[in-house]
Amino acid sequence: MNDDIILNKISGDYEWGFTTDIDMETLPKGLNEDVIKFISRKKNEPAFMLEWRLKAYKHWLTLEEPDWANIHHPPINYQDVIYYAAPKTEKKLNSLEELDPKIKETYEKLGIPLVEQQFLAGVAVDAVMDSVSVITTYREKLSDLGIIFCSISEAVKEHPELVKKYLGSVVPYSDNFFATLNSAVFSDGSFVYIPKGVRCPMELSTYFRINAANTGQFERTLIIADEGAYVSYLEGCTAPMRDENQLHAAVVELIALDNAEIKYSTVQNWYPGDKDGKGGIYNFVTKRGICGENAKISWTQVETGSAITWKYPSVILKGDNSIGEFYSVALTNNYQQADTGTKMIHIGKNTKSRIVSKGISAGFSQNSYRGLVRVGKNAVNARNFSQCDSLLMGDKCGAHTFPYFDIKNKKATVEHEATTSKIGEDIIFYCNQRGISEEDAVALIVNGYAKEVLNQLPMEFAVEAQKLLAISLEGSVG
Amino acid sequence: MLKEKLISEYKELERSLSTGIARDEAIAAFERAGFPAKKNEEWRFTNIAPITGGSFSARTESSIDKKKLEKYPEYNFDATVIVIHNGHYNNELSKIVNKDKNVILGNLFDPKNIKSDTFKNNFGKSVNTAFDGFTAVNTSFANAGAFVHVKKNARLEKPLIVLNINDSNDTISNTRNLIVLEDNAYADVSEIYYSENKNVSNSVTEIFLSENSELHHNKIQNDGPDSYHVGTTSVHQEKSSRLFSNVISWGGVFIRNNLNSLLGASGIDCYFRGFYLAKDNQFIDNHTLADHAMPASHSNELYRGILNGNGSAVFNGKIMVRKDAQKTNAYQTNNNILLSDDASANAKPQLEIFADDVKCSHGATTGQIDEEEIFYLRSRGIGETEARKLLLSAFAHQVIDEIAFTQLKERVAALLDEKLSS
Repeated sequence: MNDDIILNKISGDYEWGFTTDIDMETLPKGLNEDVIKFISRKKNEPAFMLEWRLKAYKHWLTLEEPDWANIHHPPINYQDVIYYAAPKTEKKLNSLEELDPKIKETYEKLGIPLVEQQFLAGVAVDAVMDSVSVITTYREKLSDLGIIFCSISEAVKEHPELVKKYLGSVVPYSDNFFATLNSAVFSDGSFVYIPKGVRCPMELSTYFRINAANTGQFERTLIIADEGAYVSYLEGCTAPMRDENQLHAAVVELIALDNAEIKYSTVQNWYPGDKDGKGGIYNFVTKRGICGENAKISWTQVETGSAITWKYPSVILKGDNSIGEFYSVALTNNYQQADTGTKMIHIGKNTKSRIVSKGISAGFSQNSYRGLVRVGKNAVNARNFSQCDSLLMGDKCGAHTFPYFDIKNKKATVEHEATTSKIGEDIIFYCNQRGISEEDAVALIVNGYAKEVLNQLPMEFAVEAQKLLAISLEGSVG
Repeated sequence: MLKEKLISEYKELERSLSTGIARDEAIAAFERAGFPAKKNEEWRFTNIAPITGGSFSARTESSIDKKKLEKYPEYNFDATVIVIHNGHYNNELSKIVNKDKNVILGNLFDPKNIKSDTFKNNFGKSVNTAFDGFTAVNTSFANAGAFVHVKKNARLEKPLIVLNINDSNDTISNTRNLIVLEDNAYADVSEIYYSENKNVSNSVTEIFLSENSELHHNKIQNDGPDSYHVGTTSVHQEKSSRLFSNVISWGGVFIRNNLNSLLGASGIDCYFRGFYLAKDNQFIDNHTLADHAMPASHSNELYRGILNGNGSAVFNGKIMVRKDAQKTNAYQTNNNILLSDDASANAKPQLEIFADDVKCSHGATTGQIDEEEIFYLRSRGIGETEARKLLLSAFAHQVIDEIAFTQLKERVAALLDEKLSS
């Protein structure tokens, strides 16, 4: 089934480009303390949240946008962004039938299994339309197990002790320019708490979707797996076709306490801009997880969208014997730019990490892998293996690798290898000989190339990913 | 601060330096750019504060006798030897026997060399004074260095040793070498560094290789425990030329080597090899760049290092494949062995690729001696200490064995043995 994912990409336009006509409650453009107070008030947040947001905002004012990434874009005017937009239906719904038919239609076009979920039972969807969580399903079933799966705005109100304890504990409000901005203005996102020793029986999934024109999306996700718990979380995105660049600065924090495991999978397919590089989403994401003893965090991402991707899902291996994994396929076409990779910070003893990154660049795109493996002084027997491969299609694109290694322990073993190549003519010829057309051959080869990563995606997501992946490799083959 | 000190010293020293070089422009560029800032990505892991905050003087003096020189085994090699002491060329003690009129050897700053077309066409052409403070300082002050010009179809008969000895205190001495090989020419040039006392050596070597020429270039750093070294080797390669570069670094408290080659045509072979051994509080930094600008060339890089005590090393290797450089083959490997808990290795192998029909790869590993290998040797009756030494020696020899000049290779192997025994 995974094989179809990239095969399906070999099609024309961005299939998911449409907008929904729903009345939006929208703030004027710009950012100041009042905007933050408005967001906080709108969400009925407790005082500690507002305080935290303001602290972040004040710190943000002192920061400058980072310029070290291998990406180029016109300067972003942060005062030209709308920081809050919400669909007006804020009333809680009891069943799917109560849902705004327009929203329902949108989801149907996207193929989100809100209606099909009877069949796909096992997937609980916390669908996010712009900034406010519209509907949360399967909550009751989960709550029987003590699992909390809700929007972060609800969590702030209903579980302030958990939010207070963990929000900002992995990505502090002062972390970096984009994370700090997010901390100040985040509108919504998901919150997951898995209690001690509970294995979440289903894949949890949230669909993010940018809808209002000029609305920056500032999602905040916080996932906590208590001791011995397990959860697999899916995140997927599509965005309507737009001409103006939209800013997206999300933060995801994962906390895996002792013996816990979190598997986080993403299919990212924001609007990448048109063939001439016009429009598209600017995607600046901070994702980081922290592992307790014997814990494991695994990131899997399929990145095909966004005009600009700036994203480094990282793992802090704090506990002894903890494990971090990063599997990534990043495909860029036309004028897309991706600067993505990971950081593995080994602190505890016997920590292990594995990095598999597969870049595919076509058209005029630039695709960079940037990764750091740091082995601290006490990380005895730390083990890392990294593999970063790049596949080039066409002579106008670029593939770059910027790995950093910082090793301070003699008992550590770190291995890294990277290759860059194009699809060999002999391989294509071999396929041609056997009656496989050139286009099919390329799809076959790209599929095989990315298989190691695609295999990591959960089954339910693979079905979805198949539909979401829709950038064309057509024409870049030759 | 060193910057201000050097600028003021330049005004006094200017008149004593050889003319015909754009020294004023270089010092002006230095005044503008200064030493590299920590924010500069190329210098991020390199703390140059002990140099830039130090009080080193560009005013150096030289007096050395033959007896002292003969203590350095390299001086007695079957080779041509150019002696540079504290940044001064020593004509008397240099051993230049050259009967071939197609080969020009000597001090680069000899007026007749400065006046030559080769000098005018090549000096300062492959390094950028405007952006690199250390090179600007070198261009401002350097007054000694080797000049090697091998004309078409000629060969440098004996290997050339450029013996740099620095024994003054609190000085910064600048050596500048220029190597120009015309079509089908051949040369073997080794820069050897020795130092005592606390001082900085700042060297720049420019190399131009014409069609089908071949150069073996070695840089051996045997500096003393208090010395600092910053060196840049910048190569421009033409069609089908071959470069074999070996850099061995194990002396000094601070070493920074920049090595870059512009592969400006097709059919080029470019080999970068390096071995470094850092212990105590030594810091060794190697930055390399293989810049593929044209199609169908080949570069291959192998850097290996052993780190002990508080020693730390930085390896930053970059392969750049520009848009037109189709059919490029470029490979790079960096291996580090850490022997102590306080040692650290910092590796940053980079690929920047703008062409599609290429084969490029890099690999980097950091680890320790494999216990199973030790066990294998011990089970065959080899003691543990000996077994470790054997494995480390084999690890280093992969690089050292590439040195073409046999006498030098044996000398380096002997030094390695000595260092691994201690």
